Amino acid sequence: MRRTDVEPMLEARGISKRFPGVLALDGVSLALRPGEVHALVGENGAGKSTLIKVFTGVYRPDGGELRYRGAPAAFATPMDAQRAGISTIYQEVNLVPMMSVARNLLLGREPRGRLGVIDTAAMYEEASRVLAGYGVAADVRRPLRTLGVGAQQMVALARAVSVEARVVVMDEPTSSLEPREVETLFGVIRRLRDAGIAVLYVSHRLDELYQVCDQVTVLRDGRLAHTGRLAELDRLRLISLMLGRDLSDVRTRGLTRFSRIRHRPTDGAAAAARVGAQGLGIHRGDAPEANTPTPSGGASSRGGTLGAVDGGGERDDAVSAVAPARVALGGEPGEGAAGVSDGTVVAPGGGAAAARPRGGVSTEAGVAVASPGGEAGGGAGAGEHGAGPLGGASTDASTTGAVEAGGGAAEHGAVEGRAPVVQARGLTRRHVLSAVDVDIRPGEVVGLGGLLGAGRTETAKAIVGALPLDGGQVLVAGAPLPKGSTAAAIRAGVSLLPEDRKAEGIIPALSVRENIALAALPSLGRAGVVSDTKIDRVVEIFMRRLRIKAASPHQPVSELSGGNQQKVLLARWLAVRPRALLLDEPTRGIDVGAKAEVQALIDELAEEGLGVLLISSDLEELVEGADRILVLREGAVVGELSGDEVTEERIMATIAEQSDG
Amino acid sequence: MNREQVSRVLQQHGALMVLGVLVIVGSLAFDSFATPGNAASVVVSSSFLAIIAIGMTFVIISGGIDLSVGSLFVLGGVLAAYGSQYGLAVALLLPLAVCGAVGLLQGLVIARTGMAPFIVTLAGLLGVRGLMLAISDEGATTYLVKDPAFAVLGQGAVFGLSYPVYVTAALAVAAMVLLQRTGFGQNVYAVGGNEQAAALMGVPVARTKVYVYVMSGLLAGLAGALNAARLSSGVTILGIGLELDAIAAVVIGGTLLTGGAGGITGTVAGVLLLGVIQSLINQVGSLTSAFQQVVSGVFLALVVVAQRLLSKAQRLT
Ligand SMILES: Nc1ncnc2c1ncn2[C@@H]1O[C@H](COP(=O)(O)OP(=O)(O)OP(=O)(O)O)[C@@H](O)[C@H]1O
Ligand SMILES: [Mg+2]
Repeated sequence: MRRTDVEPMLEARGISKRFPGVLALDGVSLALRPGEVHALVGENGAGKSTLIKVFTGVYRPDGGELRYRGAPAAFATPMDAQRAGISTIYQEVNLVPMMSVARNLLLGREPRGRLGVIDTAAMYEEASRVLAGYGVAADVRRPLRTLGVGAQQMVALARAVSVEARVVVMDEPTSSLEPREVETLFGVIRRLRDAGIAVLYVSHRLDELYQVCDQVTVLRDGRLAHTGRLAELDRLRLISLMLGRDLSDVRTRGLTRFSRIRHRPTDGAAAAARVGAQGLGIHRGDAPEANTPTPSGGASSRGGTLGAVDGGGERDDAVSAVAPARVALGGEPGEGAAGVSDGTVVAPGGGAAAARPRGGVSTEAGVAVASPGGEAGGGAGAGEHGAGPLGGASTDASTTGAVEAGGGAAEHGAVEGRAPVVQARGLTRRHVLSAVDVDIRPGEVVGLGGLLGAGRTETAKAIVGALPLDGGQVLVAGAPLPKGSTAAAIRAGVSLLPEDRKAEGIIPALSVRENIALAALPSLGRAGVVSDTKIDRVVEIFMRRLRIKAASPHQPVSELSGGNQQKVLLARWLAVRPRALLLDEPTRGIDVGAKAEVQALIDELAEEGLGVLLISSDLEELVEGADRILVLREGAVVGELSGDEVTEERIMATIAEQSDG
Repeated sequence: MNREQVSRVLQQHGALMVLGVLVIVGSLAFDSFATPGNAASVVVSSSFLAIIAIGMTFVIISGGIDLSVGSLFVLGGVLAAYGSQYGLAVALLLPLAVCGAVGLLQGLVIARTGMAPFIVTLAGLLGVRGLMLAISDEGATTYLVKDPAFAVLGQGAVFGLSYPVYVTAALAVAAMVLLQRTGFGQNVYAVGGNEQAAALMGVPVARTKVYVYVMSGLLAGLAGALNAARLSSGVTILGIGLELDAIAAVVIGGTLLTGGAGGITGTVAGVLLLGVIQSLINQVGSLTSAFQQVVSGVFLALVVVAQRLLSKAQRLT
């Protein structure tokens, strides 16, 4: 639609919005035209949701003007905006979990029978009919919370679209949707566009934008960075606008990272490409460089992991890293033991370390995680006790370790040989899971593939004891976990990053700091007395590394943008330093830059010996991240892919194959 | 039926089931229990609490609490007795107007300032009690019901049940329809279930809250007026702690104290259950009525524990 001459349906002119401590919007203008899909993009915390909330009467702007259908407008409440024809799907699924699906869908416009009383039979019938159109087949009489997040999102979508709307606003509608559901959504969007409705679309998934959007507006730190036709911007340019970096900068270092899918061959050579991508795209520091025992050893211990991530440590902001976190946590005498034991768990193969080139990690960490044998393990121990908070002294020992690691042969397949940290055997729950076996080995990222409702989330929940089981057992390092106790699972070193962050994750009233430190508290103190400085250090590191945008560590998490809340949650479980981490949609709602950072972090932790179970509806992410993929269907494992087989095509094929048969 | 459905049914109808069991046990154990006379007396004496508890159900489902209803009940009685000298209409309308106004005031404060309902209605409880004491000269003056037509309202009976029972039944049915079958009812659930989401879905949150407290005030005033008609006087000492009985009945009836779920049937069952427990204890004879409170308290504690377990069972699925 090239109708820039058409009068805008909804328009923001120089809108500003200030929250205590941040100027969330600073003179932002945006025009939505009828029959046009307008993308709104920007990093986490750029102000997208805030702008949407200004449009829909949730917030009142501090400055600027809002125009709707050619006249100045000010909506006092979301209800006013909705009545005027602006329908919104907010970022967080915003429905009432305890009410039935039908009542949520039709709240405010229930079919009436005699005497103006709600006709429940008609209501249920209409709700089923509407939802069937969105591919949701659920008992609409059941409470909404019994549906999965994706299905809930579809209910929210159906709700927003089924009212008479002139403008439909969608704040990250696809973050919890399956590819199939995304297709449904796009169908809906195209239908809306053809009906002359203006659509505002927010997403961090760039592919999607190119599929459905006509115009694009880029926000950066609350300011308008760009607005224009999307087709005129290529991906890289778009990313560079979002991040505010030079195009060349993004290209040289970010090409592989930000648009990996484009460069990945789709044939059998994928695996090779994958290794390549890890080597190049995720840019592990290469061993020789990291190993060089020069005075810069100390420096490399600071920037080390970053160097590892970015391919040389020359990155401007030198965002420091998980590695210092490890030192911070493990560097204290006494605490060191934990760090080392982590390390030794990893150590056995030695080659494994080299399989994922990562000498740098061990160097800066000062905990010779990578060290290929008892000998270097000893070195690590020494380094541990001698280590200052951030490094210098540890360089010696760790360098030794690293040299050894570098010296170890790049021998593949070492991961397979290790004893699993987590062994789930025959997890069974009627209608949900049937005899699911999962092994997670240290240093391995196991992906769970499958469609919505295939039992992926349930499998993860079952492993940590958050889902009552009819049968099955979970062994951690060979010892059985007591049934139904998440606390026991956490103590044994198995943590779950839950899918539904709002209901099961963040504690909105607590600060960023408290939310991050929460689960790690026991390990951050001695004899129950928590060390504030240690917490501060850990919090500081994660906030920096994950680029958590908050006014201060003491800001309540509820005031953070959606993506930043997700990062806080991720930081919480990373801070625990578990033996196995189950990640259910870890990068949901996280922007491109941070997403790469999170993925790099997961890889790094895996290299240090963490076992990871990864669930993602983003196939690209799954394929990119996982060493091995279990494909689930209807609660059962129907296929296992490893090595060369780990491709999007194979996953899709495995799912399809099974559904045919 | 799966575990989730079972626990949902238990949550919603548990009170009714326990009521059934108690009635059966009572009839078997005591000859004088299952008599029409005793049944009528339980039902009649429960009806006033039931009216209050209906209003409380709306308040609690909306995520709030109303501690002022006990005081409003007494004030309503006193005002009705006082007003009865000017005729039936005044005897009815005066308490409704005043108690409704108190409810409105509390609702406005809660909805507009975001103050905790607990605090606001606690202030209401104390303030209204003070007002009542002022009107009745510290309880020294007892207003007698002057209008015979008004007295009939509380004392007349059909089929052995006095009029307030029918009023209560009609109110319960109306409340059920209001809650389940009208937009207002849906808004009450939505506000209690997730206030923020409700606002974003276009529910008039503040207005819904105000209505709920107005309703609770009106019903407490009405219950007081009917009680005054029954006793032919506005007694000032009754009604202390009545708000707690009402809350107990609502919670026993399966309404979640955290809001968002519950219903009128459960509340009615909860009220009757409290009445039956009292009656059974009277049957035993050797136990004092103080014992009734102990039993009700224990029972309430059990219900709350059971509710937690049930909602946990539902959440886990
Ligand atoms: N209620 C609030 N109080 C204080 N600060 C807030 C509040 N809401 C948002 N902010 C801040 O305003 C900024 C913009 O937030 P916003 O939610 O608009 O980001 P966003 O672009 O939607 O990010 P995301 O991609 O993570 O959803 C953030 O720095 C956030 O912390
Ligand atoms: Mg947002």
